[in-house]
Amino acid sequence: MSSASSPAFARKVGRQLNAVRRHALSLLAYSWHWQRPHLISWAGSVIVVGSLMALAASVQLTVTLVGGAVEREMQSASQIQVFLADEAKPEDVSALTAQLKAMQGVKGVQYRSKAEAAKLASQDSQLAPLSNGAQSNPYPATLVVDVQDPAVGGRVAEAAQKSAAADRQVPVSYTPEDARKLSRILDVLRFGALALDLGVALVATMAALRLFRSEARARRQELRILALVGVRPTVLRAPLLFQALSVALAASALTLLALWWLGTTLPKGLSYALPFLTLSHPLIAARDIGLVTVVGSCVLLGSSALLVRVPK
Amino acid sequence: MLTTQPIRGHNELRETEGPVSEHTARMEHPPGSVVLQDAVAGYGTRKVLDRITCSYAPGQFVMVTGASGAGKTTFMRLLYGVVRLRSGEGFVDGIDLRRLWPWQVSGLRRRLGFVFQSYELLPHLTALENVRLPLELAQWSIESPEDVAHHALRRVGLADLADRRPDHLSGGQQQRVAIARAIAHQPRILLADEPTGNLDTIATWQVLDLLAELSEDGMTVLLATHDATALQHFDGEVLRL
Repeated sequence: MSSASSPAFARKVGRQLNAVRRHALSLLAYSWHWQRPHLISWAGSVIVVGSLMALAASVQLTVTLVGGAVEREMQSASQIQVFLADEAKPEDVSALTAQLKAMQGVKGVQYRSKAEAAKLASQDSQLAPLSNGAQSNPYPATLVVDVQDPAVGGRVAEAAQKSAAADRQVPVSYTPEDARKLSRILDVLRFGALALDLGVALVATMAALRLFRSEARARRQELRILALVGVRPTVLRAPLLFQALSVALAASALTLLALWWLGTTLPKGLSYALPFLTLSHPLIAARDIGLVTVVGSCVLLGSSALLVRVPK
Repeated sequence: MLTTQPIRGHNELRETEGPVSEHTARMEHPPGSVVLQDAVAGYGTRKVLDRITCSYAPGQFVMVTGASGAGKTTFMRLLYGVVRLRSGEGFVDGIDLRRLWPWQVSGLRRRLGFVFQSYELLPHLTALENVRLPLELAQWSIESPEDVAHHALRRVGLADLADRRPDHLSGGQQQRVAIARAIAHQPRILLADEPTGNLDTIATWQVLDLLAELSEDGMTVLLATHDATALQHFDGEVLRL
């Protein structure tokens, strides 16, 4: 019984799969037949939607890179370095160390020699080149101050400036006030990027809806007749969905190109404008933003295709 | 006359077509039959059909007639799922119209054939494509829509004109293409709403002869018409609205 029914079941499944494959091919052919006469308006939609998406993605990439760097700076606010002058006397260093340790909010102070600083710098891609060609060790000895609250940074800086042990020109690595300013700028940038993303999503959806509605209007008679002969509304929507996905994918391709270009040029520009920031790898951030762009645009435009009314 | 003729080729499809299939088992409303009991239907607050009762067996040829505005088109549209049944009972091809939800309407239409007065052909497609496209998009189980469409066009005598677009066909030929489209998937019931309304006498008789042949082959044919000549020469069942 089971040996007789298994081949029959397999044949039935094979027939069903064939029917699905045939139907999918028919839908694709029909969707292409729909789209072919309107390739110019399709290309126009791709350029509009793609440009908007590229703009939003570029802003997002810039904010992500700068934001990541500033966040790392904020985290390092718990550790402030006091740069010591090369000619600093040990008793001045000890006095400054004791003064810093006595401050409220300071957890500990550790001395780091020039050799240790050079060793650490050799592991940092941005600092390592500084020692190339140098006659002597360019890195100063430091007092590494662990703080509980970045607000202590101001008093640390003040004490360093008054001490004879600290470097006259660059006494401390970091002023917390700078971080707070950057943090505020970052918040504004993030809010702006989010608003821009939402605006782009809205405008892109409106542009796509306009295209789909004009297509459905142009084919109103055809859709009505096909509905009358029993074609399912979901099948009638298939060409619109096809068009939505093709616009989304083509616009995403434009966006990915823009992200790739920006990912290769942005670090140079940012290094010039904001040299104190250490950027993460831009192409990794661009890849993540690109992925979100592709998936998001497909979902958004696909959903807008479902909003277009078709005859029942 | 029960539906056991060779023309029935898609029983398997019908049995698996979803929620409506449960009703096909009702022996009192067998597939291919049309039954209305005190049926009321209309548009908005206006009743167009008021307590209509009729019952037609599979394979019957019925003419539906009445004055202009009597409700012939509404009657056809009720059977085709375009107009909702407000009260009473209605069974088409074994499907209970009272239990027909909006998303099931296309399923009902895929089981029936419908011929419109204005042909409703797609002008940018050839005769063959007009028949083939609905098969491709609506009838999943048909393995070779191209062959089936060719067969349907041969059945209506238009095999030689398969590559012509509607604007290169006469009114009678266009209506025969529409009939080919309606019968290509071999429905048990064919509904025709004034199919000869725009045709000359010769084309009218060609279409009526074709519909009679389909009925002889076992298809239930309901034809709405106000053509007095056709009615005079018709000796079958007539429903007067």
